[in-house]
Amino acid sequence: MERTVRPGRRALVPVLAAALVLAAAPALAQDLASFEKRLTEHRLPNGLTFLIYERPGAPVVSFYTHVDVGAAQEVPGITGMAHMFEHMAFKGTTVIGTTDWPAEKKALDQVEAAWDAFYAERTKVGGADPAKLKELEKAFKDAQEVADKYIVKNEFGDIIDRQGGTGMNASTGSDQTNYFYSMPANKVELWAYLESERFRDPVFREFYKERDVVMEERRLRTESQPTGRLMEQFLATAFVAHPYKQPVVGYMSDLQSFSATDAKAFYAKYYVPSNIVIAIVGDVKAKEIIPILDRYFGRLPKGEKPDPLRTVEPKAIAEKTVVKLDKSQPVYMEGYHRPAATSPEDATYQALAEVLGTGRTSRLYRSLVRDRKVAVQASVFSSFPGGKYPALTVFFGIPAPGRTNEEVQAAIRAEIEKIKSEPVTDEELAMVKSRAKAGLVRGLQNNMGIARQLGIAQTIYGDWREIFTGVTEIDKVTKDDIQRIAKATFVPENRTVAMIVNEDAKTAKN
Amino acid sequence: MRKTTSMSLPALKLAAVLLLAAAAILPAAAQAKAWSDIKYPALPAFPIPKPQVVDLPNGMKVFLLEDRELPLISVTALVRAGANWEPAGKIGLAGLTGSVQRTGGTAKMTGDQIDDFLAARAASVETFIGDDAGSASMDCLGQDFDAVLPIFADVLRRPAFAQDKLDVAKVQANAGIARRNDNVGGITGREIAKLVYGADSPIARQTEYATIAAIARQDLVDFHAKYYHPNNVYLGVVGDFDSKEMLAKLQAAFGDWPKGPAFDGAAVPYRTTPNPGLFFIEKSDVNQANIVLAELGIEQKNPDYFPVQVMNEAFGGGFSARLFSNVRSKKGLAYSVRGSLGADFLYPGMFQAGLQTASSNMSRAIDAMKFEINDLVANPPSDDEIRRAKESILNSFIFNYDSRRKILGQQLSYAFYGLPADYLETYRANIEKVTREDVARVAKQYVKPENLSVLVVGKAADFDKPLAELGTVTTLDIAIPPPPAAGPKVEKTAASLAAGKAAWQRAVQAMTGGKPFAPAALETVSSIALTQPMAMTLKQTSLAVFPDRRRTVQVLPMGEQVTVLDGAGGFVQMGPRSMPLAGEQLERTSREFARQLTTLLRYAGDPGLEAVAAGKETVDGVAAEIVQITYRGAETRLWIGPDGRVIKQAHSTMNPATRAPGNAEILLSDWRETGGVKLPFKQVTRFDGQEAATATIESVTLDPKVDPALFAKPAA
Repeated sequence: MERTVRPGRRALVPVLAAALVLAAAPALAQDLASFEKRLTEHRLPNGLTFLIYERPGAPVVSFYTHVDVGAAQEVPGITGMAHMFEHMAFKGTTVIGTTDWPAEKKALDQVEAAWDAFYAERTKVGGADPAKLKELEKAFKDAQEVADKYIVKNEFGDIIDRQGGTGMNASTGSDQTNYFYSMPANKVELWAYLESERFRDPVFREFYKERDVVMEERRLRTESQPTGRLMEQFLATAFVAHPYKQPVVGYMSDLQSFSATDAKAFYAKYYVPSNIVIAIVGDVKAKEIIPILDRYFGRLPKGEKPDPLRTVEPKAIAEKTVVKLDKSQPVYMEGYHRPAATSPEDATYQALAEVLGTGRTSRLYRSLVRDRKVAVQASVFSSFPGGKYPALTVFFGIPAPGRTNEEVQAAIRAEIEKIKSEPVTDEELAMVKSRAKAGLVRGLQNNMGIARQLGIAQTIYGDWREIFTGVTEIDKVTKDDIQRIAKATFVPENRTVAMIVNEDAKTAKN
Repeated sequence: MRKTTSMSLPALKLAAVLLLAAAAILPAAAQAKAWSDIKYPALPAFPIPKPQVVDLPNGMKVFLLEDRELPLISVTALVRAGANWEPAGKIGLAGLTGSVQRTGGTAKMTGDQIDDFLAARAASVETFIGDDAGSASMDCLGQDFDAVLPIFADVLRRPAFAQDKLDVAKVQANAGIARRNDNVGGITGREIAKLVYGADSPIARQTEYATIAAIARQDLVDFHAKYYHPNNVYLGVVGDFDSKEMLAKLQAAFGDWPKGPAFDGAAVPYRTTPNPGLFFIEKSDVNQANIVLAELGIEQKNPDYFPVQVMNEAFGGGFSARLFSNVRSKKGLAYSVRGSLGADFLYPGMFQAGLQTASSNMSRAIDAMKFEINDLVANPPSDDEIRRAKESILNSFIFNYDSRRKILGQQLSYAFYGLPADYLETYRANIEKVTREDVARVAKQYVKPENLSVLVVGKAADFDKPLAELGTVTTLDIAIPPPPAAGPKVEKTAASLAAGKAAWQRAVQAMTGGKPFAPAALETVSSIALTQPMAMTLKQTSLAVFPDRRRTVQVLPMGEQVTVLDGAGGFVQMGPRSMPLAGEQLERTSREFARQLTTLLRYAGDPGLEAVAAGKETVDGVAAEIVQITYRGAETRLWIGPDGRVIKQAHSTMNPATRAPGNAEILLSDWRETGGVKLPFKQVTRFDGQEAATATIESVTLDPKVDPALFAKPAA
């Protein structure tokens, strides 16, 4: 689903974007041309891309590292690994986080050997010998205790905390892994050191304790949340082949089985400089920091850009329904397959989702919440769970007390039929377009927000200018486009329905 | 990568120039340093921008801060009002007022018109009322400011509180109640506050179906009228404007808003004694134990606030803080572990430490948390920990004022909560002053492990050991109370009985014109449009044979359904199948018959019919007297207008959609004369605020011929 790039299109679009944005909002100072003047693209020989946006003002700077690897790169057995590595990227290096690296290395090798022995016994054909398993488990625990003695607890994060870093975190999605924080502007070199070191020289210490933490994260977000449970079933059902069907946090069995050695292999394959884009936004001068970036990040060895994902979700041919009996109140969703964010139709899908399901003026809100009162919340998400690959447009409804999933479904379907049979109004289309333009301006209000957008656009589209051209694309959407896409997309065989049915209500009905 | 082909020419040139420049600067010998060798240049001085503060003559405080970077303008108003001061019987009033203030529109525009107007401009106006403050905000492109400001001002000053939008908000509020036990985190946060502050304290108390049902539109109007005066408002504007021009615009929008009474919110009551113990809530659909240990914290104005911040940073602040290091990294017990001694403005915050852990780690996790809390007191943070904590707070201090929006927001809330304008500057100095001894002292003084309420929410069957082994367990019941079975309590006094009788007689007079009304039988044919439990239209013929027989025939898509009360019992017949009416169903059907308006009218003077005055209320602009009628054990309330017309009838009954106890409300209109009496020909029924049915009466026949066979039980 590669976006078709016509020769010269990219060069033309920026000019057009600026013109359109300016025409619509004369007060808009933030057109692409003026933005571009403050942006520097810098590519290292090893393939790492920097985007530096100078935003003078308060002496602060935000750093956002976007790695082009997500849960979609995982295969059965290592689901959850992209996220697991994200956790490990805070564990330090051979210099940070250790009291004695050579000794610690030896101890860590022994942890790995002990894990391998334990795991081999646990999965032995014919079943494990319980006594032996217990013994091996103890050996594994003991080995970890030995290794723990060399640890300086969380030194990596501690340095950032103490030097004034704020908002330090990382996130993993289906499409990407990213790492971000902000620093006072005089700490650029410290950041360059830490960020280059964590990807050049990571140490997988405390791997198995951190795996426990991730299992708790899975229990917290997925297994102990009604919507978390439903969402996992929904995605697993909607996708037949594509890894979007896999939970980002991973399956419990994989979390209980993968090793630090697996994590190292994953890291070696995907954490190559050509797979990384770093955006730096704030009170810095590109000219002044580029030497620092070269010095620290130039040390990362060049690596092959990983091959693109082979599996493409086949065309949907069957309607599917998931019913989750649960103790919680009902929840309803239905999703329709749609092309990737790079598709020329992306803007139309965004407009469609806006008209149907964003805010108080949306059709779903007015029909389901305001007028029929069958739902207390009704919205549409244009692309879920990601955008890099073909994904789903998802309708989401929370039934009002005493109302049923069926009523919510009927009301959603009525709106779907309406948008297929009648064009949207001029007012609706105009609203979508002005929102997109204003959204662009609002997105430029803070350093981290800008950095994040730059990193995502550069990685997904290969060009950060998509932040601006995306708005131009929405401005070009016509009523016919919306109706055509609605007709093609909202058909039964393209649909997956998922709902929570309250156990007690179900019993009462029967 | 196809990147280079997509770069515009100027960008390429720029990149080339920069590359050359970089090459020139970078000496071949430049090397990466170890992090400890890195020297930091001094951070340039960055004075905190000061907003302009203006007091309008009507007492409104205005804060202006220009920010010319982007063509945007934001307005925020803080108002002295809040849920802390709503009546205990109407919990949720502040929240509903804050929501319908915006959605319910103004005198000039309906809420829907405002939605459309703002959406076309990608602008927003929002309102909210929290515990101790009301707020209103507006955000728009600079070019739209003049068009949006009048809406913002009207929403703030003159909201219409449209009834239909209150209905929507009440459905949302009831959904919140129905769903409040679905999320384990929500349960834990809510219940620990009740344990620490007391369940009746405004800080911890929660909305119920009954408190939402007790709220009428007039309550919202009154709540707004009581608190929303310019002298209770702090208004800040930040963005792309000229301050002088902006001030003129604000004066035009708010200058004529008359001053009102000063805010008189009483001190907020809460439990002042500790509530130590082990409390448990069963939640069987989770596989983690959600654990929290808590007690009262301190007030914001406490001079120990600063050492407490340093203690918090060392205990539960960052990566190297004790909780994260020991409980998460070292023991792997939780993904999220937190702990801090909280401060609040009007009352103490909470000391809280908590985590979520696998059910099978429950007791280990409690032990680990208790250890850390005890250790905080017994082995308070070392010099090294204090240094780290202070560095972390001070080195990131710039982020407190790195945007003009943040600064404006801070200045607004400092003024609102009575902190000095230079609070931020002194904060820094106050943190610098904190010593290890200070932290040790505050840990000892405010953290009392023996006073902690320990709450565990989870699936007991999966715990690593029975909770009872850890101490005496108090199990908390969080079942959601059903909607009230009866309406507001009515005081039965000689006066209320006399007033009730008089009002009821006015209603009877309006319906009968003083003529006697004593038919032996009455037949009513109506067409009913049902919207719930499912949408359909049905025809209904109801034949009442007084005093105690009634036969109702409903023509449904799947056939005819006949419901008969025969004086002794009754039955329901559908096609060839018949079922006796018994128990609750029989009682309900008999009650329905007894409180039907025509039945009440028929027995208007019956000594068994009791009418009690139950207050006054304005319904859709009509001032009505409420009368509670009890007849043959059935209760109902009538809203009687000044002309004697019954505008509304309400009582508790089963909600057919939820099949749970609920409230029915029938709006009566389209009065027509038939057979010498005036009756409402249109009756709209709502269950728990949701429109369920509209009945349109087609004919009313007095004393029709009655075939006694109609009431005979079908042969078995």
